[in-house]
Amino acid sequence: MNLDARDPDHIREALPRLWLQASLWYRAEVRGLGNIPEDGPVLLVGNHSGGNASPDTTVFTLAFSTYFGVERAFYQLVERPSQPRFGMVEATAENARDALSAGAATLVYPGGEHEAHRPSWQRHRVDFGGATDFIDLALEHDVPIVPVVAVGGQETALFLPGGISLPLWPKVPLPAKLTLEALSPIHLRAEFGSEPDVDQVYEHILRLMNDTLQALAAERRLPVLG
Amino acid sequence: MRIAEHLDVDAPPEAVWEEIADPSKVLDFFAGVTRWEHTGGPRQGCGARYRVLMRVGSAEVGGLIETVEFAEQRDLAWTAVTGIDQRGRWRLRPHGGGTRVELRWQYGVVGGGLFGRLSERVAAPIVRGNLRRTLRELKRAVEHEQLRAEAARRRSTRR
Repeated sequence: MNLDARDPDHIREALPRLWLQASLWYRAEVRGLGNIPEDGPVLLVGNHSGGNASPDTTVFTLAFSTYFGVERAFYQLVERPSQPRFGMVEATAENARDALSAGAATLVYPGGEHEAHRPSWQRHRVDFGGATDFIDLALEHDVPIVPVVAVGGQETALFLPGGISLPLWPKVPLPAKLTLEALSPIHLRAEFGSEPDVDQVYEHILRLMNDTLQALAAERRLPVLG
Repeated sequence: MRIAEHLDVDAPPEAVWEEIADPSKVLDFFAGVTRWEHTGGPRQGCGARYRVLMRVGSAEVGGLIETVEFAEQRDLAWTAVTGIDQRGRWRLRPHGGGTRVELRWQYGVVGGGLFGRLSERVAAPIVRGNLRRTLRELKRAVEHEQLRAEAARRRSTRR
């Protein structure tokens, strides 16, 4: 199974480094962790920012691990899993199913690399590109969806159309202030009936996340500094 | 990293103990602590387990703790079961007609290496600030309660 690489002891020992990075470099603030169900499988749905570096994932992994403890299984499905021992696995349907079947909290980014590389001037927009697989996944496993909205990640570089980001070198992300917020859980069948309309759910979640992103963006006075 | 702060409270140890030993009151005065929730064992005393979180920088840090010492009106100590490694202690001693209250907190991540030591140092001013505010809040709460009780006693004597 692809989930075997996750190593709670490794995560625990890495927490100080992640904490320093999140607290000093990104001045990160993570809100609403209390909205995540205390146990059991849950599908965390995030907007993806920051290109390949994507600091949102690192910051959220730190916040989740310190809040719930490294003992709670948590997987992050990304296109390029650079830290498998943190629970990063490749974003495939099989891995998502395995993680939820194992009772784990599972973070997915429906917008994927397409969203993470969107131009900087679209930084305050959630763009899932019409991907609705995550809703089918939540229905299949009957798990709640917790949207996780992040702002600031798309200010860690200048992103241009075509997946180009500046500066080309060095690839050190700018110290943009990050704010993440976990929203209230959405129980699809309780809120949308026994056979939810996937398009309706998609529009609802997208609107909810976009509204939250706009609100978080409105709190920022300056780019990067936050 | 071990951080210790103390403050003198104008109240006897039993009055201070009443505040610190009651888990339902902890959130009223413990600065930075966002959760102190009973999760197992007796509600208070040795073996009582709580889920504790303190906001430090970008994270709410903590885990499951267990009370390991409960000497009434003198010492209350806890140690981590899960989460970051931590030990804490309330130490009450009679002092000049009142009580000297000391709060100690030891924390770290075993195996955290250089980054572990660095993060402990960076977090120290935040944690120290939280402990100082905690002691000030505790002093205010206990002394206010003493004044309230004294006023109530005087009123009942006048009747």
